Amino acid sequence: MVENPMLTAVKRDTLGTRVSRRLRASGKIPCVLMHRKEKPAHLLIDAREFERVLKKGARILELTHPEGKDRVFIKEVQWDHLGEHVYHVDFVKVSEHDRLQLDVELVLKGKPVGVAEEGGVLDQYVKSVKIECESANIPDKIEVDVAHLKKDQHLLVKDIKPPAGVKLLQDPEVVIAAVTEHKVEEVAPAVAAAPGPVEPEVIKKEKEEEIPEEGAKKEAPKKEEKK
Amino acid sequence: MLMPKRVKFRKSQRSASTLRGVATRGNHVAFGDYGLMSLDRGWLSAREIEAGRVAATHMMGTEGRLYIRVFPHKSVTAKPAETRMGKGKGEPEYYAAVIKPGTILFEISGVAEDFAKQCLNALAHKMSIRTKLVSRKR
Repeated sequence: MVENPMLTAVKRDTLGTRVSRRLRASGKIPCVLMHRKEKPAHLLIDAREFERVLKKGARILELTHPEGKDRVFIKEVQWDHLGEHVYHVDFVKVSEHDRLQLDVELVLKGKPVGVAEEGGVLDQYVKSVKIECESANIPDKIEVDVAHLKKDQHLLVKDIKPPAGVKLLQDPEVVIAAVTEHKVEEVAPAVAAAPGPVEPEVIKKEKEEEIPEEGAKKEAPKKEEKK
Repeated sequence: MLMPKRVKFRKSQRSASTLRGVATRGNHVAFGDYGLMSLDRGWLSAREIEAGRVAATHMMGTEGRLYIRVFPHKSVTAKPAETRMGKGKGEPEYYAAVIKPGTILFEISGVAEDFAKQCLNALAHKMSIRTKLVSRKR
């Protein structure tokens, strides 16, 4: 059995946006540790250490915190807008036999016949699937063989064979991948001197505006001429 | 070049407020495997988007698929040269997409990582804003 990575957390006494910003600037990440109906514990972890663990693809960690040591599941990771720094992490205490619901990457294996021989393109519509499994048997990815796919054939969620102990929670009729015809871009013939700038159609109201009467124009006050 | 088919108003205000903040939508790679993310904010003209598309599709040939994730909805007006100020707003000159930091501009799927990087690099050279390459896998 593979050992889970270790992480150390310290207690976070001060809460709020300003404090959290300062903490992030000093290389810490605010996080919470939850467990069923217990009150969540506010903690702080080291940003570098956590990102190193995350790069390895870890889902379960051994978290050492002021109140002890727990086996935790990384429930959610919030990133900044450029996806460079972690903003916040949600941890949930789990035991080995707890069943979890999570998203796992879906990897297509092999080169389809429709691509290799018939000149099609393989499109993958579903990149990850939602599964339910025990916390001790979380798969890194789910592989699906697409080598047999011919042109205009597709693969559904129900065609996936999940590993033992893993249950798929996705709609079974959803198309995950298909081999389609490659669309060749049509080159438009060069148009000699376009008549004018092409503009989009302007959406107008159905009722046309009433044309002001001539009498109304005459009644308009005249400006006083400068002497 | 991309442009709206139907619009409610021909001319739009500059509206600097739409450029404020960071991208909260269209900020993750959704369709392809690799994407080009904007690091700056600004207007990306339809001409730039088209130039990028041509550069990438030229490199890709019949391989893979390119996704354009932004659309030039905004009309940008300009006054003709040597015209006195006043006499109303100018005529629509081009259409542009409003880009905030974190917006995914283009995506590529169905090609190897190295080749996808080359294609997106060629594409990035056509953009007037700073970009970075991102992948779906984090």
